Amino acid sequence: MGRVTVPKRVSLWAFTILALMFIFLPSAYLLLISFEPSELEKVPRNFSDFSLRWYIQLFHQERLPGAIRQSVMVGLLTAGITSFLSLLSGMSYRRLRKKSYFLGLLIFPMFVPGIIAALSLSVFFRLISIRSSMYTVVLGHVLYALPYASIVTLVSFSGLKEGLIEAARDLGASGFRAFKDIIFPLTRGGIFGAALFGFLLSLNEFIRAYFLSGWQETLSIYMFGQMKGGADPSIYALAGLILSVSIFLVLVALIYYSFIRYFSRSFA
Amino acid sequence: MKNRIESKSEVDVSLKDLCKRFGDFTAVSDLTLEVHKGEFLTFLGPSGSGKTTTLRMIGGFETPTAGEVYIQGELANDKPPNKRATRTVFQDLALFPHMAVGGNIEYGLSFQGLNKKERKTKALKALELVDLEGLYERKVATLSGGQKQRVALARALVTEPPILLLDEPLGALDEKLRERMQGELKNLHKRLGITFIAVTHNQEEALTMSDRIAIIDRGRLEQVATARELYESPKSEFVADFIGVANIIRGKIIEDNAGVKKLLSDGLEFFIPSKEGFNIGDNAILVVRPERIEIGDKARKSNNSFSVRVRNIFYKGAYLEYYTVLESSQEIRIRVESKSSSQDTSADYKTTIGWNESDSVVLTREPK
Repeated sequence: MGRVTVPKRVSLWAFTILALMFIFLPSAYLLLISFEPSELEKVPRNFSDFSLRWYIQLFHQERLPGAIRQSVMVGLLTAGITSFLSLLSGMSYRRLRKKSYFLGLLIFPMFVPGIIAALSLSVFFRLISIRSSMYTVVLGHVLYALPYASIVTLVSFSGLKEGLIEAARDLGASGFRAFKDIIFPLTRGGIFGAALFGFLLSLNEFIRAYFLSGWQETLSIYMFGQMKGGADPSIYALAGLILSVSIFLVLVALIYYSFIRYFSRSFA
Repeated sequence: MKNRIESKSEVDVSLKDLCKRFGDFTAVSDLTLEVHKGEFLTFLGPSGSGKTTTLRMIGGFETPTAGEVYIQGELANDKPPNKRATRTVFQDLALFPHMAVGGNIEYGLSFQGLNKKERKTKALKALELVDLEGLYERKVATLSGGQKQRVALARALVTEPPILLLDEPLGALDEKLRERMQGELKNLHKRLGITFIAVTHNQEEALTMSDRIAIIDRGRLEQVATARELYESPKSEFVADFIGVANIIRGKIIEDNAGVKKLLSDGLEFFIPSKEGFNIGDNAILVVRPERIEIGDKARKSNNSFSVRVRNIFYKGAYLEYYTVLESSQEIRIRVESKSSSQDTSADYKTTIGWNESDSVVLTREPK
C-alpha cells in the first residue's frame, strides 16, 4: 500500500466531514429549532433561551395520544410479524438451491414506489371488501418492511454453518430442538434486527398509512395534518421527540450487538 | 440405544448397491460393502470421489437415490441422524460457538434423559479420555486446532455410540499434530472397541489408522482390503497407482517359444506372475514397486533383468531414488535404502536393473 500523503489525508477528512454533515445537519437543525421559545423558525440565540415550551404544548393536543398509541400498536405488530416472516425466509433460504431468485423475489417490493404500493393495496382491499383499519395499515407496513428486515435476517443466516445443525441432529436433537438450541441463538441478532427495522420503518411511514388507515390516524398522518393546517412550532417538538426515540432505539440495538460480539467472538 | 435389536451377525454397517445422484452427477454408484463390528474402516479416494457422500448416507445426512443402508441389521435409508446408532465427527468439527466446551460435550447427553450432575460427570470423563482435563469451562473460540479436534471427538464419544463416523477427522490440523492424532485415534479405537468409519484423502493417514481401507474412485468402490493387501496385491490399476509409488508397464500378453506367458511392452518382454484369466493378446499392465527392484550387478540374477540409463538420483533421507529409463523409453523408479554415506548420486550412466516376477503384479489394463 502506498503512503497516504498529508494533502490526501486532509481532503479525505474534509470529504468525510462534509458527508456526515449532509446526513446529520438537517435533523440536528430541526432538533435545535424545536427548543426556540418564540414562534419563529430559528435556533435559540443563547443557551439560556432553550425552552421546552413546544414540548409541553404537545400534551395539550387532543388527537396526539391516540395517534401515538396507534403508531406504537401498528409498529409493534409490524415488528412482530415482520421478524417472524423474515425468520421463515431465513430458514427457507438455507435450503434453497436457487438462492438468487428467492432473494430477488423477496426484495422486489423494495423497488415498488410507495404511492403505488399504497394505492394498489387500498384498491385491492376494497375489492375483497376489507375495511380500512389498523390491520390494513399493519399489512401494508409488513409488505414495506419485509425486504429490509429479511436482508438483515439473511445476513445472520448466511453466517450460520449448516454443519452445526447437522451436528445437533447427529447428537440426537429433533428438528425443533436444533432450531431452539442452535439456529435461534446464533441468528437472534438478525431476528431482533428485523423487528427493529419493522418497528422504525412502520413508525415513520406516511404514504401507506395515509391510504390504508381507518378513522384512527397514525403519528405521521397526524403530523402531516398539523403541517398542512398552518404550522404550529410544536410540530418541531414532535419531530424532535420521534427523532430522539428512534436514535435511542438504534443506540440500544448497537449496544446490544456489541455486547453479543464481545461475548462470542467465535462468530468471526 | 436401549431398544436396539441385538444383531447376531458381526456386521455393523452394510451398504447394498448404494447410489447417490445429484442431478446429472453420479456421486456414488453401486457401492456394496460390509463394515464389521469393532473394525476401523477408512474410505480413501481423491477429492470428489464420493467418499464423503457415502459417509453422509451412513450418518443420515443424505438420502440414497437407490440401494440400501443397513445399520446394525436395520434398514436405515429414511431414518434421521438422531435415530441412528452413529455419531459423526465433522470435517469442520462443527463445534457450537455459543456454548462452552462443557456445553458442547453435554449437548448429546441432554437427549438421553440424564440430569445435570450425571451429564457433567460424563463430560469430565470424556474430556479426560481425550486429554483435555480442566477445559470444561473454556469458550470454544479460545481453543487451539488440536484442542477443538479433541472436543469434537469427546462430544461424539460421550454418548457412547456403537459406530463413530469421522469425516476427514484430521484435515484441519498441521502435519506434526496430524501424525500424533493418527496414533491417538488408533489407540482410542482399540480402547473403546467400537466401529470407526473414517473418510480421508490422505493415504498415509488411511494406512496408519485403519484395519481395512476402501478405495473409492469416481463413485465406485475399487477395492476393500488391508493396507498390506492394497499395496502388495492391488486389484486395479487405479489402486496400484493411488497407493504408494508404482512403476506401471503397459503391454499385451504373449506366449514365448517355451509356452510361458509374458508381457510385451514396446519391444521388451517381461516375465509375469502366473495368473488365471489372461489370454494371449489381452491388454495388461505390470506393476512393480520401486523398492522391489535391484540395481547394479545383483540385478543380473533376477529373471526380469534389463539394461537402463540412470537419469537422476535423488537423496531422500531414508532412501535414494533412481529415475532410470529402459531401452523402450519406459521410465522406472527405484528406491534403495541409503545405508552408507559413500553412495554416489552422480547420474547419467548405464547399468542393469532387475526384479523377480513374484515381486510384480499383473492386472487387466483399464481403458483410459
